[in-house]
Amino acid sequence: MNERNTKQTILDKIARGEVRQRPRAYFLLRGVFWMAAILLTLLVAGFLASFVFFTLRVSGVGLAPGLGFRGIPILLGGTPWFILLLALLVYVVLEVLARRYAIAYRRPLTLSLLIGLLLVVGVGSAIARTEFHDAMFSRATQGGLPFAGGLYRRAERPLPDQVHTGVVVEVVEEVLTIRSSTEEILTVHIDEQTRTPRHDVIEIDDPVVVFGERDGDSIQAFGIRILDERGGPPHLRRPKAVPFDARLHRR
Amino acid sequence: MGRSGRQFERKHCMRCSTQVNAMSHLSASDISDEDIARQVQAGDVNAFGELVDRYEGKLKRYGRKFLGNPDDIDDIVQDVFLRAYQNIQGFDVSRRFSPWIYRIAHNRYVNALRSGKRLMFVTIDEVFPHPRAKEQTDTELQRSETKEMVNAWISELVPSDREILLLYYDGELDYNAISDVLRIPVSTVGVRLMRARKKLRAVAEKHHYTQ
Repeated sequence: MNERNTKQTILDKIARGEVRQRPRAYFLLRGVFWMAAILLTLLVAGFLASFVFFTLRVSGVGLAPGLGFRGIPILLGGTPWFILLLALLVYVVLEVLARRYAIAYRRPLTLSLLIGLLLVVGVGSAIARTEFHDAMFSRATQGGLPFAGGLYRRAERPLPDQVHTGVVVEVVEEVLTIRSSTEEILTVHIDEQTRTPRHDVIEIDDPVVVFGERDGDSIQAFGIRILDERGGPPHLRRPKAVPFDARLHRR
Repeated sequence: MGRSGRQFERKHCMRCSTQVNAMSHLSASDISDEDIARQVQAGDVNAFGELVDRYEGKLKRYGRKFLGNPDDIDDIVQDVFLRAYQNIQGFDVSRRFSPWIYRIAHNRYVNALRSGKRLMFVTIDEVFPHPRAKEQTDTELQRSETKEMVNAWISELVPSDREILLLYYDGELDYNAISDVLRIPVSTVGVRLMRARKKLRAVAEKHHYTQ
């Protein structure tokens, strides 16, 4: 087929209406569709990542690396791997979608993956900072979350024999008594190997996470950390201090 | 031949002494591909014929990298132009036309080669960052010599080397444009082009040596 025929064949087909231009609206809608898909995938990946952060926070497992080598197996055992793998899978889908655009494919894959990962972690951290997961957790512990309730209830105690959250009810020399998040009274034994908070003294009413093997109602602790205002299950946290307003207390 | 970046402007027509901006008053070589595409978007079907004239030969030569049968190539080139016409409203006239149509051709040839099987693969080149091979500004002589070598010995190279050389020397695309056609990192374009040139020179030297 010579060049003259090719051109003429093409123009004839166009003239006969065998081929028509797709309207501009088609491309606009397609662009909106792909952008929405990318945004949704980013949100899903970020949400799953935020659940991982929530689990590490509410169980106290996130503090385990501060205990040195002994804390690493705790962190690995207490990480919700299924959710993490799901987040990675969604992240891969995100990367595939993003490679439709020059901003992704013009960069080497490692760089593009790193930027995507930072975005997912950023979105996950932002969601984790909100009260959303705490609210879901509270509903789950009251039996009010039919589908995800199990996931949230398991988040609190990923390693029930090694990680224990509770509130200190008694301090006697090297023995603490705590009321656990499951309302059990547990005795925590501290020795010279136990890593305790460096700059804080453990006091009554402190919410704590204790790392150690449980034997009956006793725990031989190798690490104790005081939970901050967002750590541990919500029902263990101290109520937020109400600012003192002198006007209300004037006689 | 008109190139990208030129805005469509009003000109004084020396023949009829009026200010005009109609395409008919300019010779075909004065009008850029992007301006022609704009005309097609506005409904001028005949203008599309000009784009066919400009790109048919190039797309056929590009197709020889993928397929051996000239009839297959002709059919695919025809299909490429029809798809280009169908999707012309999706072309952004502020960007270059040639990477856009080469991308359509690339996809069509790859599909033909794979017989519809969509396989995703990534080469090691695309994964890791490279110290970017700077885009060479060849002299006219260097460019013309390399282009001669491409025409003479390209069939002795593997398809991936042929592809990148054709896009650069025959298609006259820059690194960014080639990145857009092949959907690979810009740094990878530089690395592959460097390798392909080396191999091409080795082939050329081998032939001179045996002579």
